[in-house]
Amino acid sequence: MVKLIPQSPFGDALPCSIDTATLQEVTYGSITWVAPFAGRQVAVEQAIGQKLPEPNRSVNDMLWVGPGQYLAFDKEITTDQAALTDQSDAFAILSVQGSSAEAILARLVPIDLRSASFGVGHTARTLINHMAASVTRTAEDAFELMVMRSMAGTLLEEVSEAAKHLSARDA
Amino acid sequence: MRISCPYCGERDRREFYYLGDAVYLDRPDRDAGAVAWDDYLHNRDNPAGITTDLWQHTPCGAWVKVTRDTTTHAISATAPVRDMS
Amino acid sequence: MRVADKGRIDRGRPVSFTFDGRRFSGFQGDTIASALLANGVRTVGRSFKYHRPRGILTAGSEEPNALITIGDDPNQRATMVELSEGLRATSQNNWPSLRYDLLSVNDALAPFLSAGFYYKTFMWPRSFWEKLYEPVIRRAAGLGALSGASNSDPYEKAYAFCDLLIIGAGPTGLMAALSAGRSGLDVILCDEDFALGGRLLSETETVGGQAGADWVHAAEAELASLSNVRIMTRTTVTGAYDQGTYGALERVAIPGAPLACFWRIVAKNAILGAGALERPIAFPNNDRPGIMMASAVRSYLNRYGVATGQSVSVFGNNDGAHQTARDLIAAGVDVAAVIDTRADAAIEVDAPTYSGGQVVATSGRHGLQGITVEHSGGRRQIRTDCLAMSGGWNPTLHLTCHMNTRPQWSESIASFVPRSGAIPGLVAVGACDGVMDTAGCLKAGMEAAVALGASPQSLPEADAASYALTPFWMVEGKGRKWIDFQNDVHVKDIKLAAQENFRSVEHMKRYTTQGMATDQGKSSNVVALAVLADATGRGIPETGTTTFRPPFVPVPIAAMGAGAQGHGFAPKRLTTSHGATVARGAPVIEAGLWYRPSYFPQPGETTWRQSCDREVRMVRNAVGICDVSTLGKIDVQGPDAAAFLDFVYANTFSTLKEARVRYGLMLREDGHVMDDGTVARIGANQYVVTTTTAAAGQVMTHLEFVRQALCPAMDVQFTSVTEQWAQFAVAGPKARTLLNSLLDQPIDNEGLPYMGFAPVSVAGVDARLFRISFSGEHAYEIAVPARFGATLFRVLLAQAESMGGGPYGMEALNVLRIEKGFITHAEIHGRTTAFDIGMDRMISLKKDCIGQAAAQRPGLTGADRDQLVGLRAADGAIPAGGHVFAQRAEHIRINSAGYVTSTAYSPTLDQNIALGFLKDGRARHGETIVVVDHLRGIRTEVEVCDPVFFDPEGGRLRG
Repeated sequence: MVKLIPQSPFGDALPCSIDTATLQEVTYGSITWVAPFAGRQVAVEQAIGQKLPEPNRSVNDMLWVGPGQYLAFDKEITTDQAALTDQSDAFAILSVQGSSAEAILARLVPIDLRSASFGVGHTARTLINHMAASVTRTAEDAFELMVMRSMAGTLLEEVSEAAKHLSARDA
Repeated sequence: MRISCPYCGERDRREFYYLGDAVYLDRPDRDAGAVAWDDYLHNRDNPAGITTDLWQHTPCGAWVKVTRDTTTHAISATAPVRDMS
Repeated sequence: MRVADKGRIDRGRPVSFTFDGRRFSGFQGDTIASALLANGVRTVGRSFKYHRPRGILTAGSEEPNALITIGDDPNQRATMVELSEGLRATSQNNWPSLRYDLLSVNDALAPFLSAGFYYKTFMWPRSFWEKLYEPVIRRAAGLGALSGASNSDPYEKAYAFCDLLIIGAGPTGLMAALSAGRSGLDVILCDEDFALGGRLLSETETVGGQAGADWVHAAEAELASLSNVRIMTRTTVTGAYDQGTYGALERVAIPGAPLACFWRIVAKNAILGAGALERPIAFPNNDRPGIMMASAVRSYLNRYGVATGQSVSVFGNNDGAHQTARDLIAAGVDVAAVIDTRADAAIEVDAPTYSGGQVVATSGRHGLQGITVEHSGGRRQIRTDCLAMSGGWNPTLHLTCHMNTRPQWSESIASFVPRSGAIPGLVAVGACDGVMDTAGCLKAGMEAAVALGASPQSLPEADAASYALTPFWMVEGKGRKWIDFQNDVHVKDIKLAAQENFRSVEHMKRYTTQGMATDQGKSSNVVALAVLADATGRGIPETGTTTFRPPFVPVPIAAMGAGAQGHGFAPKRLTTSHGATVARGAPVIEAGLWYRPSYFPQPGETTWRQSCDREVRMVRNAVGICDVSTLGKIDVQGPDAAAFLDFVYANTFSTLKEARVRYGLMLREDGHVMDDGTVARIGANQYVVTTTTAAAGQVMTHLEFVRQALCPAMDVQFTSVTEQWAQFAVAGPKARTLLNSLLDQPIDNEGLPYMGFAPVSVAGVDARLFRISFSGEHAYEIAVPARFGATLFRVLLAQAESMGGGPYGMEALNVLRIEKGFITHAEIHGRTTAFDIGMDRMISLKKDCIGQAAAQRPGLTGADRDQLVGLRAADGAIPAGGHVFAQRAEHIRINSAGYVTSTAYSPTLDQNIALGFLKDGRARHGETIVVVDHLRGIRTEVEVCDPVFFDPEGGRLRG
């Protein structure tokens, strides 16, 4: 009898620590891409029983990922008012946590991540080096980085290298 | 160079893809004739001064109409080509 | 030599280093330059063109002379390199040694090596230039040499954001930072030195009643305690760019850490407090080691505790220079003479003084030994081993020129000052704006911060001496009067340029190379302009100035491109089958960002062709497995999904039935083919579009453009699902048998016919099954959520191998599709139309679509077009890229009738076959033509045929 075994995009590389930074995979059972059809924003909100996040924000189990587009995490959604697409396996999601997290990302992400302008719950569609990404601040000292699943290795490599360079400065 | 994405705010130029003059928004009818199609596809001004062109903020996908001055590089306006909020 | 009780070095921490193999010792807080001077080393290099011995001229980043190699890194400015234990420095541009440089013969030949010499001399014969002249000149003239090895040193890049960027931490920048920081503004303060303070570290003046350096330390401590202020030392702001972006190079100077970090700083506002640079005076043989800038002599004395000579002279045109003599005397150093070009200068110094005097000659082969002074009392020889010169100060306004605004001439300081508004958001204040006293700088720094919202501060008391000078540029007389020390340009070169009518400052610069060295003429440009103005009988404002461009100091490319070497150049996209692929020894090739297997070698196979041929036969006769996850997949949904696809594809999808798949051809608006692929209708209002691997990104960008810009009224949504699904081709006569051994519910030909789609499940996992074929065989593509991709691939391989099949790679995939005449981007390369590939009838005229209007244009259809054909050779290879010629035509470009795009040996047909384009090709099937590849020296006779070589009826697809 055939059995299919789920595997992490990061293989067995995580979790790991580099100096004060902790890198962990973030996993979800399901991720649903939600894009309300024309003029159906409110109808979708009624159907799912919550407000959709404002642009550049993450609220509870939903994340803004572009104009009129959201991701829902581990959330059962049934509505014909929006395009719904299963994206449960489409991403590699890495959590970077620690006092150096912001400085590590400052070496990779070309946007203003100072907490005054990018606080907890803020998210951005941007780049991590050359990779299109969603970057979300989940705590004062923690971020979630989301890239295409196939780029998991590159993401881990680049975050690790930035963390090592930073740590070498404190040596 | 920094451009304002109508959804994401001001971002570095590296996040944008450049298409060309905003004339691309005014697609002729398919029967408009060769002259209209040539103007649409190929004929462009090269102003020393104000120009309006189309950029895509690739991380979020939004297409943006950018009005800028080619002599000073100042950007005077950005607008989404379609309201998708 | 060191002077007791002077300087800010840490005498408790000696540091040893080597220079040209000799061991020396300095202290923590020294630069290489100060440590060499402390050890009495005066000659540190040979000049670029004439190989003249040169010493240290300055104490800052503007240093033109003292370029040395640190470890393997050439062209480091000795004045900027901090001393560290074990540091290994070597001198440059000398052979065999610094003292006995054989190429200093260039100096003896100097009369023949004037400006423009190369242009005039090495003109004939032309072929000698590359073979003889250039290599010899390059050897003789030059800076330090690179090792030739790849640079494994780590570098970094980083981004920073702030409300206020303050550039320079002298009195101006520090006062601006204190004002802004105390007021809560978000500040980054950058200084290129390793210590804050600027000139205050090098002068004996007081600020707020304490030594300047002590005031600096207090200010630094306060700034460091403010969480809204970020201090970045060793960080040179190198360029000002659009919309408040600044480049900055940080020298990290921590063992084991990256050598440098290139910062991109975005600031809402910036205050430039970069100070000013002292400029030299052109007088005969003013380049001997020991002749230095007066301000540098004070820096070495007051900051580093080093006397730059045993008996020092001072030569200047302003009162500031006199301070040098007073500081030296106070420190117990002998001052031999103070010479001021101004006849009315009051020189209050306890040493021999010469008002209205000039230095007309110098002596000393390896370093200064004496000078000749001419003044109202006659000529006088003076023994001196160091001459401190000052021709006045030039504001460090370079950044204000980076957006193409030129500075303006200020008569009052006889130099250029910045124009306001030159860089939007940046204001230049203090010495870089022509304010030459400390009290004025402190005030200007505070006021600049207040203008940006800071609250006013009380200013410490400071020196407010007025800056008085009478412009003086050049001493007349015999001997070369050097201006650009790094490029060996002297007064006569500039006069020659003017004489030969290179009167424009831009022409003079290029003719003489003035200001074109790595220091960009920081110390020399204004003097050169003055000489040019004089030679052309114009004033300096009329003569104009060249501009400064980024970067302000040399930036290693390794720092700018940090992280982008090797694998960092682009992200790697790996399929879920990558691990198994590599484990089987398959070589991988790049396809866009993806890595895909070329072929899967078996024991006994020694060439790729053996593996490839076997894999092709395996697919034709049994079953093969290939990871096709790299193809772009887009989920399209909405009430207008069908209408949208009808508009972006040449053919029609509104008529496609549910659970069916159709080939789609996508055009660019200019009528050429953009991409092709399949489209499956998986619901009433839902389609899955596939693109080629190569064009997936381009197609997504295009679809977004069409949706947002051209069809804003359409209610359609789409997103890429390329990453969600791991998708594998199962191809060959045994494909269905294999799948039925895995699927939870078996399939048959009626339930899933050719070009059909069905949702299926494998071991309880929901999957998608498409009956499509890129090989011409009975084939499927099965997609599972990516987390299951790795195990499904292993399962598929195990099943296939049990049936005489196995995996196949890109080489076999390519042969299989060429045998079937299927196109890829080798054929749709951007210059081919639907007509060219024989698909013009697919353009439906029942509706509008992208590219339809342009595709009808004259010239994009017709017999003159190169059309897709098959080519088969009875004998010999058909080279890809080869051109095709009619049989009796001469094989020259004008006769080329087309070209070969894809080529293969077909194991199925046992023949070399190819796809290519041939003028009027569809009418020429059966004709024999010639393929010629001049590069590889190949000439093959081929027969033109239909591009479908194998199973033209398609019976195998439907089997």
